[in-house]
Amino acid sequence: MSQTVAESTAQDSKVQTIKPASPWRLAFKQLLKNKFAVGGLVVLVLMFLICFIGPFFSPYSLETMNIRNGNKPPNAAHWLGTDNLGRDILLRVMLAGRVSLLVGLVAMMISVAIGSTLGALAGYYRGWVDSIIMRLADIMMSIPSLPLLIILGAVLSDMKVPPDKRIYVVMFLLGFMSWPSLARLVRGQILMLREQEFMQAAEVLGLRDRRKIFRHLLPNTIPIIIVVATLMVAGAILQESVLSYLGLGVVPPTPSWGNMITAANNLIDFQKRPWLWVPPGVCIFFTVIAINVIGDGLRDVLDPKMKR
Amino acid sequence: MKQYAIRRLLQMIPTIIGVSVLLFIVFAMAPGNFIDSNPTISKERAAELKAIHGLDKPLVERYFTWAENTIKGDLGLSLQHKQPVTTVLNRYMWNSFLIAAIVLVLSWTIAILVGVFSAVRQHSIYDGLITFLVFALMSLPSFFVGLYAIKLFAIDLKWTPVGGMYTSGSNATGLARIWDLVEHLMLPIIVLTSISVGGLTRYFRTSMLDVVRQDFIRTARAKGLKERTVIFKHALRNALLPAITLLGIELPGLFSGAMITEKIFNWPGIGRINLDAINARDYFLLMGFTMFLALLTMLGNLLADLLYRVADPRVRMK
Amino acid sequence: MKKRFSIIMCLLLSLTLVLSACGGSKEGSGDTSSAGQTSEQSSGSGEGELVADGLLKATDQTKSPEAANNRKDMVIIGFAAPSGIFNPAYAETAYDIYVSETLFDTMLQVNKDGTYSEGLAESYSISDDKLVYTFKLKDGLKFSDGSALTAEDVAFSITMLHDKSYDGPTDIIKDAHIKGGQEYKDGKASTVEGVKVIDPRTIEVTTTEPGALAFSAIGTTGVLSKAYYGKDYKQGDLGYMKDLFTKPLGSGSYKLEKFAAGQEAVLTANENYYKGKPKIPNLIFKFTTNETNVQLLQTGETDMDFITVSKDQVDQLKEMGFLDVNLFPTNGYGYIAFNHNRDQFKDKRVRQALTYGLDRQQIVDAVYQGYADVIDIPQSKESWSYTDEVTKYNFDLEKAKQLLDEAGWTVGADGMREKDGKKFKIIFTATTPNEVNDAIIPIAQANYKELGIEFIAEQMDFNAAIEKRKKGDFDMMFLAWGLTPDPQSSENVFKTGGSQNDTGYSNAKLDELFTKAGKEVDIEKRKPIFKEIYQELNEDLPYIYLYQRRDMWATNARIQGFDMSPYRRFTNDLSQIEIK
Repeated sequence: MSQTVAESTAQDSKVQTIKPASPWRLAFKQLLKNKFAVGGLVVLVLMFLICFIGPFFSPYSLETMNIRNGNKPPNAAHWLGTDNLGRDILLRVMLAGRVSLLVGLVAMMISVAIGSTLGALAGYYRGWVDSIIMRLADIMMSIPSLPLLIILGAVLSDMKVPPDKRIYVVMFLLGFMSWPSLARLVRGQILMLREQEFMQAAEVLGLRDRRKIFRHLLPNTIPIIIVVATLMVAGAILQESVLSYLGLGVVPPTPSWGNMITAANNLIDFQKRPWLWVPPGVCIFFTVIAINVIGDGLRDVLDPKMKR
Repeated sequence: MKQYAIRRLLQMIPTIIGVSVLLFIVFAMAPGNFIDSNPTISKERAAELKAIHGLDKPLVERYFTWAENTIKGDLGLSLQHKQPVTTVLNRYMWNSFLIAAIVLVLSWTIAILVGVFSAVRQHSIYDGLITFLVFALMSLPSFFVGLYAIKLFAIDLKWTPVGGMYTSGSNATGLARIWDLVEHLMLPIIVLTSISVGGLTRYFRTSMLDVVRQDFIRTARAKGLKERTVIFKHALRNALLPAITLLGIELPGLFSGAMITEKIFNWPGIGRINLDAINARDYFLLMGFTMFLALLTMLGNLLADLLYRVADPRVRMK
Repeated sequence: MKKRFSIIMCLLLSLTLVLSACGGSKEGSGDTSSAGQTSEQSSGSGEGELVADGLLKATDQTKSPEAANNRKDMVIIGFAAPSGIFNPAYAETAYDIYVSETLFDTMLQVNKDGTYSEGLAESYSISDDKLVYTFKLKDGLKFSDGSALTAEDVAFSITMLHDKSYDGPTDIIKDAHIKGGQEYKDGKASTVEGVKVIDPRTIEVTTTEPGALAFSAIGTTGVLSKAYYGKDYKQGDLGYMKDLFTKPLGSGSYKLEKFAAGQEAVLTANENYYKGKPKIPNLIFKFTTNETNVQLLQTGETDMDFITVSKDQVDQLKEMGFLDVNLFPTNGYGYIAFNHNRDQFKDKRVRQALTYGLDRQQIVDAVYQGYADVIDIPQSKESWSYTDEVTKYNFDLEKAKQLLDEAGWTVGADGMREKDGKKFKIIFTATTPNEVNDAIIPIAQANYKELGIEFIAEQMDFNAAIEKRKKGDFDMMFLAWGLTPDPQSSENVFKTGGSQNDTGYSNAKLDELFTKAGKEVDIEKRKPIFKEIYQELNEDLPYIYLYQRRDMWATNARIQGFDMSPYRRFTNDLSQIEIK
């Protein structure tokens, strides 16, 4: 055990000396050395490729349906079977991926950007800045999302925003609604971190606030941000289907992983027709895992405390 | 500290008023309303009913009437249930609380243990397995997990009842009745715990990984303390600090009910009632329930901040 | 985050609840055109053969679970949770109504074919000018506490519906036009002039205009005990009634022992019941959900439940072997409404084209797999007013194209139809989550594209959609109506300015026919008028009529004696059923 400690200290100091050069490029290089992270990246890129290019090779289209051919298990013509209207599941999973991947990732990024910035500001400045941001967070957390979404759906409908464009609103909305809890978590960490020795050193050095927050404090909260971010991607992908029920998400017949999986919400489909829910479920699973390992890799690279 | 607490409590007053105004507007603006949602009603009768419930008045007047009654402790009548809001909440909320409280304790205990374990053994096969399970549970909606649990434990193995709170038609009293309740609690608790344990585990694993690498842990190890002492006494204590924030966020969850699981397990909880109220636009029930949760949200966050200061004296919030 | 997530997820699941909560108004039922998909649908178009239509007898009663067999003197019936409003004047959801009907009785009872016969009443008479209704009560009627039920109680029950503070679902003034009712509501009179107690067993109700609905509206008013419900009554204040919802006192077959909100209602036989004490001493209504109601039957925790119909469900129930499955047409229908204020839908030929051009059979089969029939008029096949002598709008794209050409909608350069430079585009407002909409949207989109019409769906929750409809801000939308036993109430839907006519539909011929039918009380005289009404509705197509589906009750075969129909609910049989 003590050996590892010594080793990592050595590495730590090495990282420290190179760091000022070009942190992001360096980080990326470091990231590529992490085989898990690379694996995750490859999976994610593959998913994107399959979802965006795959449908062009499908012999079917979204409008191909035939209920006499409905609910068929995987076969030569339909590799992943068909749904109750006789539509090809493989094609639908690929098309759904376009929507779901985009929604999940964009919503997560927005939420992380807002949540971590506000959380850091509140934790660093404290006082009235903290009061305002945190009371805002209190209010956001107190207002149930459902009625809010219903209103938004109605407003967009009254404004005659084309239904197929509303998905972009949804991505921002999902991101915007979920920042408060992340902000609270980041703030909590920063309140603690800013009292630690290394920050006192930064104080003595006379670093600017921006540098202190973004170069020294926030990187230390990256582990928790990554956890929240991964949970959020999965959440956003599944949530999207609910939003579409409120006129905010995708419009049928456009599929999404979320609405495919929720379409099979009874015991009979669950038991007898796994091909309805396994494909979208597996896709969500791989996306989440991929993002998680990439996140872990990122943390290893960015977190100043890390060794390896 | 005391001063800080008082200041925060005072801040709560404008915040809660702000929330109540916002909520009132949100619910009033939501398209559709309880009375018009009945398509068979004539326009004249709809107008009469709105007048009876005071829904014909301007929004501002309605707000002040509501606020005045609420301060007096009268939350109004639920339009759906035609009973005082407090009666309706009282009927269902405690059933939800019972489950939520047990699940909270269970899931935190398990998540801490699992989190610590998989952090200490990072990159081991166990860590990998746990990670796999956690993400698998996350990728499926909770109704899948619930339905599968029913199929497995209630139908095939016959270990537990399918759903509900007590066996219908049984005259059991005393201990037998409590046992009956425990049997019915089993499935929803297993499912809810396994769902919420997933995310929590990730938090604890991360915090733990974070702390284990810090200097004071190295120092502790260097001092020759036993690994167990290092982990559970020194590391865990620090790793739990961020969890305080999380705990604060979860406080309202104790009373809000779990809508899907309640429906699947046929549990008479408040989650379903709330959802019905949203769908039916039952304004007073919604206002009463949401305001109660808002108050808990704020209290939870306040408590978390106070605890934070107690737990880590270095933290100052000005 | 977790909380928000679960809130949203549960929205999904509860949609079914919303559906059923709108009083079954969502669902219709269909016909048999789905060609042999289901062999048990023996009669497709037959009238009055409800039972043959759908009773699938249990094949192996020995499979009945022990838990159920052990209940020797008790029956457990499952349905979705009521709100706890156990009062016939206030009960609004179907489930509160089930409980209320069990606890309270009425002067008239509905027959299997939707007509009425005597219940608490021994006889009734209607004056020649069709204005005065006289009911004579049976001798020796009692409430469940043993107190006598008299005409005074009936008078009170009708009077309180006219109170200014009454906020229940009944609209007695509109339905019955009782003399002096409005004056009582406005506080100008201290009694309802038209409600007169002749002697303790006779009540006379005078109305101001003849109306086909008055008879049933008066006769099916749940009878409340004046001594119990009326002792605190002051005109203009019924607030105290709410405290008595869960402490009901009625004259129904059972009385309420205990109500556990969201769990169960425990009832015991009413020994004072006028048809004699029910044969089963203990009855429990257990509140179940769609997710597990089949499993509860399987484990024997319930003896009977209402199961949403589909091929999967029927197969599952038949496989269990010990269940009697009773299928009958739902008393209601699903339809797609046109917004008649939109220019594009004003031409009858366009509406016909959109009906011919939509593969309704495919939609209905996708959702109900044969347990619903495509319909061409807005009436249940089981109704005495039903007629089959109408146009069948079977899927025919060529005919649809031809009709659109005739109506002046010609195919433009891009293959889409246009008229006067305007493209034919339909915004379809879809309530969610709803499996019928899930099928309509892709199928209609594909069908109408072939006609050269763009069909765009917009989803929203039920209430938001209803508001759009009330505002007239929609092109087409799918909904369903529940039907009443008397077809006259359809006038609210189709008459110009009718209380439920929010699609802007107006047809002078129909207005006249409905008025004519409304003045008759004799069914034989009303039949030909209704035939004309439905032929006109079939020709003019205010809606695209979609389907009438089936209701399904599954009962453990150890319980016998139910005799349900689309009009006659199981609550009517509770005093008759037996454990075998």
